[in-house]
Amino acid sequence: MAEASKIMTMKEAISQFVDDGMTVYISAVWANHAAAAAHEIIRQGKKNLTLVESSPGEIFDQMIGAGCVKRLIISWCANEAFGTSYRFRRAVEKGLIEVEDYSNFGLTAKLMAGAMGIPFMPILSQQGSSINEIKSFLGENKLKHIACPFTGQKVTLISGINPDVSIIHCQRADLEGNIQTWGSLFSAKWGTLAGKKIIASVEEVVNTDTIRRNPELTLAPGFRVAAVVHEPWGAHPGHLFGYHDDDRWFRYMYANFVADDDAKFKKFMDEWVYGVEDRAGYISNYLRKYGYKRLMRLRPKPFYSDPINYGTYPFDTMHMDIQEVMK
Amino acid sequence: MTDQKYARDYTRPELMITACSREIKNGERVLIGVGLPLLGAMLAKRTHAPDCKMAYETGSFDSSPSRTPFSVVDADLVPRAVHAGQLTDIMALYLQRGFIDVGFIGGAQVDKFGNLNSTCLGDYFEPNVRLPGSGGAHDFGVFARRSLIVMIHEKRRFVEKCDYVTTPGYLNGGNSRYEAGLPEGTGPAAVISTLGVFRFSPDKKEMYLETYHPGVTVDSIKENVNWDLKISPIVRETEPPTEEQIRIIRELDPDGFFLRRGEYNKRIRAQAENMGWI
Repeated sequence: MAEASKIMTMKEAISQFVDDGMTVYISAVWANHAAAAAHEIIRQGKKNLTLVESSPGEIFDQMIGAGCVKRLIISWCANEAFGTSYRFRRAVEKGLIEVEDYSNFGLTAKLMAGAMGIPFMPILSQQGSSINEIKSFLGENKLKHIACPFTGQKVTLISGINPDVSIIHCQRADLEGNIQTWGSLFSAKWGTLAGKKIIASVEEVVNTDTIRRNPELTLAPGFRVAAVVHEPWGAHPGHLFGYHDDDRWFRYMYANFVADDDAKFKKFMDEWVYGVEDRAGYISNYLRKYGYKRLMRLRPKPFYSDPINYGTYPFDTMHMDIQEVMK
Repeated sequence: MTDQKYARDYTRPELMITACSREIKNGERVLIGVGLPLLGAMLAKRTHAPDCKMAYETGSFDSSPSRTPFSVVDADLVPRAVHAGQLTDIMALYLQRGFIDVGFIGGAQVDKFGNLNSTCLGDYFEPNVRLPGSGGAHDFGVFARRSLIVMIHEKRRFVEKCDYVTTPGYLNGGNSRYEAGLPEGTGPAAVISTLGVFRFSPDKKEMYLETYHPGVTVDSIKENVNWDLKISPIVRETEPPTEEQIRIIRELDPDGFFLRRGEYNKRIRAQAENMGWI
């Protein structure tokens, strides 16, 4: 018998699984960019969150600007090639939020340890720098240096982390919550799997048969996933491989003409976050302002990979009668 | 390259891109961050180093982009790449294992031993300016065989001591980098600034001036460094870009997104105003 469906709305998923004060991983590196979820967190007015991600941008900036965030565990925060994350920058400069800084490798190793259920990950990075020496709210639990017990080599131990919830935007899932993604993943695999609970928004809901025909694409099996939200264009203005490209113009606008000005930031948030019900409302607003043609320009032309042969392995090849086969 | 004519008309950022490009040898594996080095590596690949392989911390290796990626997370770095993996593939399996030859990094401050700050100006807990942070820079600087530092050259950026060491260079000079446990045979190889190109002395590991860009004097560079800068006894002018290099750079950046940001910004701002964004 099929398991109960994991499908719900973003509104239901966020209100059911994200509480004030939680530690939350949100995939925010533009690929697998969980923008729809971040906007719902803002709409529901969540507070005092500790956010974790290696190199986030706009959606962390917006959650900080909206007052949802108390602490960050990151290695970088900027609106990438487009400009500064001003909400982040100002909040740190004013002492409104605290930051624990790692490098990209260190932060991802931290998530990897959490995902694997081990207390720390040894890496060779991070020696001889302020990243090692200066510890913020994690204190001595940030990282430690030891001599390898086998070789004596200097090793950095990065403490693991298990966010209360991890949120990702993916290409597809089935009703049971088996989620699949492809493309370059940055930190999203370990970030997602580190979570105690997982929320996945997806571009498409597919049959389990589709999942089973490409099992290597599975990021997390259904038993790990608490909620699946069907959310087309859920990464906008970031991208999702094969479904939509970055909206560079939109991102450039936000980074350069919105984020550094309180009034313009408020106007942007009123329009694109508070002023819409959900992601469908956001896309409707986009269509109303810029039209269908411009939205569809973000849809990449198809470029399919070649089918690969998994083979079929019939029962009788294990029990064949050699003389019968040689006849 | 006797038939290569040097360009007469080029900008300083274009010169820096050619300097970045010349640091890459054919066949090398190069880790790329955001900004000018990305254009430098693409230029190298189209000129003297067609077999260099570019790695991106997003997880893509040896991509075949059909457009100039706006950054390392551009979706176009995935289709037709040799490997589309994840950050830990690039950082652990390639970089930490010592398989990356060159890594480009930048920062807001650099000191005379090539230590870099891209985290904060002033005290970490009460910063005057909070910067983005390490990203992959720390990891590139630790593990790449040669890290190449790209800097806007201002006096306040070339400091005696960084406010925060995001990416370790030669730490306190001499052997201190390796005594701290950083891998042998790694470290900053050059600093490419808007004024000149700098290298590090083999023993003390102290930065010295190797070449000054055309139109820049040695004295003006010394004035824009907060320590007593050593000058190479054979200091000379930076090799200018060739006409071919400039042609390719301009093809790579047709709308000025990378190199004519003022102009680009003005154009987009006008569009934004027309559409009621601002």
